Amino acid sequence: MELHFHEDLADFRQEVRRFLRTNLPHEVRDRFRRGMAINREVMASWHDKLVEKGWAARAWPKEYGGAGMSETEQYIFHQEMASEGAPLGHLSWGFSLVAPTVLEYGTEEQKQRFLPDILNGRTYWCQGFSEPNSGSDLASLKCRADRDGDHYVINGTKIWTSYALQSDWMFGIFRTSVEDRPQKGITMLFIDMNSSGIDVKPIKTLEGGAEINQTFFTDVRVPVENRIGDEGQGWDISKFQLTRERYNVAQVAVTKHLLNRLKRIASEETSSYGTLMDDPDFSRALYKFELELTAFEAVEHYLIYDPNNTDTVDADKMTILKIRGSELHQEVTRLTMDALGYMAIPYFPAPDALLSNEVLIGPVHAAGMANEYYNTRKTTIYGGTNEIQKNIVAKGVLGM
Amino acid sequence: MPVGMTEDQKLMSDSVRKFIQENYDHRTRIQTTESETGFNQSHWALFAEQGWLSAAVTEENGGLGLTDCDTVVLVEELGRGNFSSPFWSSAIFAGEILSKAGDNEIAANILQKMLAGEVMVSVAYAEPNARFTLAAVETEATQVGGGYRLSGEKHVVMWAGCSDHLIVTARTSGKRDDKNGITLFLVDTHSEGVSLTSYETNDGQRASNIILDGVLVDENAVLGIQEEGYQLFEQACDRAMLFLAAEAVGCIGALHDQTLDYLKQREQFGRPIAKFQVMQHMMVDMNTELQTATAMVYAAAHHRSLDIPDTEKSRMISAAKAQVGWSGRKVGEMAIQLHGGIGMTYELPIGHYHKRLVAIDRTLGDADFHLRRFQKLDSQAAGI
Repeated sequence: MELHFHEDLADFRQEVRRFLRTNLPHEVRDRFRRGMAINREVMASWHDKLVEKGWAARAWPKEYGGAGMSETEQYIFHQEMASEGAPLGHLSWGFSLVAPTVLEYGTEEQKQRFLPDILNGRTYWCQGFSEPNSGSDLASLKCRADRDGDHYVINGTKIWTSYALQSDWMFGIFRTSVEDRPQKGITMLFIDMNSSGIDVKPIKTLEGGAEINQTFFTDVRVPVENRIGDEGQGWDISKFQLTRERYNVAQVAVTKHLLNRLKRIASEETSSYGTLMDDPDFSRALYKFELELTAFEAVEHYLIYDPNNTDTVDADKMTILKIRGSELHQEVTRLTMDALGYMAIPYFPAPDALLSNEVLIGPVHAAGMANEYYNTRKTTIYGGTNEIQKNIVAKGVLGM
Repeated sequence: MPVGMTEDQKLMSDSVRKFIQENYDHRTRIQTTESETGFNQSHWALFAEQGWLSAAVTEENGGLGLTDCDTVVLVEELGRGNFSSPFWSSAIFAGEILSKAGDNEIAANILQKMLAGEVMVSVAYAEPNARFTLAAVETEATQVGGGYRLSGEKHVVMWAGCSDHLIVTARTSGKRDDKNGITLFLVDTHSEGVSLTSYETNDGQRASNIILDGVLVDENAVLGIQEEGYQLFEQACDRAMLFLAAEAVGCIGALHDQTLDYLKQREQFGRPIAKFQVMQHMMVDMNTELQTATAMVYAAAHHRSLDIPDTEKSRMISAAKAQVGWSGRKVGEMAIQLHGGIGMTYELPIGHYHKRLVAIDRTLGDADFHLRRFQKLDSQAAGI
């Protein structure tokens, strides 16, 4: 169901849609639709088109190569990106988390140094926050950054680092002091992943994937110029980054895309009623979900809606987007698993494998769906568990 | 187990638990499920020796003379250890059909060999377009000379790759979805015309898709009565499902216990996270699901032994199957959530139990299918 908001920006939406339909490479769209990884070269060729159009860095000020789009324009743009099958992929962190941090807290020298390679899509970033003993209680983190002349020396470990192996740089928070409250002794550093002393070990996830890692630091030397903000400011900066996560609006559009895929699958799966779409019970569950997703999209619209362009954000209020959005994302993968019947049982190699001459185990639409269901269990955990998020809403929004 | 076990049940439960502790910790499980065959032949030999392969078979057929509740106790322990093997598919499901197949010397012979651990048997019944409807059989059996020629397609046949024999549901007359006209056949896996595409399953087991292309069998291959195989098959499915649900109870129990342990050990914000009210409430929800699933399965087992109409017994089993489907999914997802980041890892047993529970839900009809059956059986109307 398509909601119609921002009709005053209808022309802009059409322009974006036309651009995407003309320029998005078929391979990117296809692989995104099938939940497959997109390699760096392919992403780069697509990214270059965005750069050429001036739309790669939508939120940045124009003086740094950005498009200077308003909040609403960015929101519309991201919706169209996701519904056309144009993922930000691994590059999204550079744009949505690192760049705003540099723009807000970085020195002019740091802006000149880091922004261009983010803008041109040549740098992949990973996040170094969680530690084995500091998950929900992130402020208790222990990975040390000790000052030694014009360097910090890092010792310790970070865990759940997504895509660390494929990343060029890490933005992380480290302990520079134990004197005061834990939050006050945390500092943000940008680390070149090629530095000596860094060891990345992949962690296999329950469905067999390897996107997350544990990163070990042994006397890793990081120049002081790679510190963002002041010593002891790291905690505040990480909280600032959380407010940027509201731009995860693509979640709704991604979930919609998964719902459309589910409808296609249900039309292909047979049952004693004909197809699964003809099955009244399944159909009811599917449309109930669509209704809930539509309602959630409306929630998202009204939370982000900023008609007077005040550019102020109540980050705590945005938290509900993460809570409900992650639950809905999980629900559609669950329904998709249900749709598969017996075909939820076989282990399908990642959809990539179907491109070679392997014998098909089942219908093409089943490939990768179980893996996706299991992997999506993470959405209510990463970025702060939904339980923690609810605490934030209770305290920060409801004043409890 | 909802009420006190008998002495014998306790002995059996303890010996299975000990077997798991000594031979099948999680690391070993990973190695075993990743091996070529997916299970350890020496475990199989031990099961035969202990008589566990005979768990579901009546005494006159060489079984242990266990009640349904006894067998539930045994299988629950295997589920608690997430023991991955052809035990359910061969010893329980195929064993049930072979032992109820009436006067068939060949079947009786194979059954004895199977109980002794010498051969394995898989049941090939599900077809790609059938979803969960047992009678939706399109595989054809045409009479040829004194025997039959079988042609058709079966999918997700558990452990067929290591089975010497297959039990196949095929249609000797009627059209798809007719309950009449279905016949059960015993087929040698290595017969000409049988081809397998074998693969791993998400829960570390093995299965195959099977194509039967003009497979010739003689009249001795018929199990039970020709044309009237459906009733035997449906009853066997009911009993096999009960024990599958029992395995799920074991998995749910393990998830519950391991999650509770973790919550008590893991410290954040200066204390064990078990002290946080949200964690406590979620754990209580898990506990409630565990008790519900356990009670429903044992109740279904108990009702099988009573002098009540068959439709009521079937209804109880469908209720148990649906319940473990719902509880299993809920508990599996909650266990991962309560473990946080570490719940997403392959190294932890949690995710593997969750995958097993999903596979169990998906076998012989998911929760929705059994809810529908529960509904239909209410008016004592026939069948699925």
